Amino acid sequence: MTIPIRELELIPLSPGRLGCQAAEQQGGGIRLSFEGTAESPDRPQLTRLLEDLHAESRKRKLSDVWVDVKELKFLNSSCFKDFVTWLNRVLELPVAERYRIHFVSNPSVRWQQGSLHALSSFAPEIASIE
Amino acid sequence: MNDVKVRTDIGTAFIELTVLGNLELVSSLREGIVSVLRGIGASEELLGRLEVAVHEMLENAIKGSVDKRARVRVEVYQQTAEVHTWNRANSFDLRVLERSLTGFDSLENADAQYMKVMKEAALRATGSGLGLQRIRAEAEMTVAHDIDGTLLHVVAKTAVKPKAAGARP
Repeated sequence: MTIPIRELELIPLSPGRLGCQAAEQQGGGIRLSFEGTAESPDRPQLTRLLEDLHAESRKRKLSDVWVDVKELKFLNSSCFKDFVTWLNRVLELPVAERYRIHFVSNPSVRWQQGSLHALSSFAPEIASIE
Repeated sequence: MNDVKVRTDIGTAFIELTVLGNLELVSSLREGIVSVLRGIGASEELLGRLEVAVHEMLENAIKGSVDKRARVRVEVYQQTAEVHTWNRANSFDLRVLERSLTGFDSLENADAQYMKVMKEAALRATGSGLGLQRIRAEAEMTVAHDIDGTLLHVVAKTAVKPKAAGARP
């Protein structure tokens, strides 16, 4: 059973744009499930969401966060940068306070292959692809 | 949007359009171009790479254009695919771009350079500087440019891999 976390949800600005559902996982951890497309107009929302997620993860002393992008059809470089910034923030924490980030992907979506590989290569200590 | 030119044949396409831009348009244009290319039977693998190039280059061209105009052209042939953009830029942007594109005409060290720029981007408040890096490292396309006065032309190129037997059209 999962419990929704309303504070970490994103309502799309318009149909097809970036949206996000968030839930507390059974056994601990948070799972974000993205949908739509993440492009420049969506950037302010995404920036704020990842900042809030980082704060919430630290507050709850989480060890794992899942980021499901299976339904995310496109991600531009501005939004990609937000994920890089987030990973870097986690890397800057003392090792004992870091949490692991699991990207849940759809291998048939081409951008996910390249971008998630880049993110996991950037922060191999904390990021992995499932 | 005006000056739209579209020519297609089996496995080949030439698409060119000029936009008087705002960034909201980029998404629709990317999707439209991908839709045309899907119609000529381009592989999903190629489409995925070209959509990254079209999006990042067109967004850069609109952002960097002094008159808000940008032109994009996509050419797909049996063995090669190219994405071109043109825009008028100021001299400062042109100098920055010239520095950042050094070595982009090959894929050598693309991943290592990408990691370095990602680290820099993570610490910078504005601008990602990642768009052209993504094209090179993720979409595996070489990127070159030329400048004629204030007119900036950027081109990303790749070879078209033959479709695997039994692959979806």
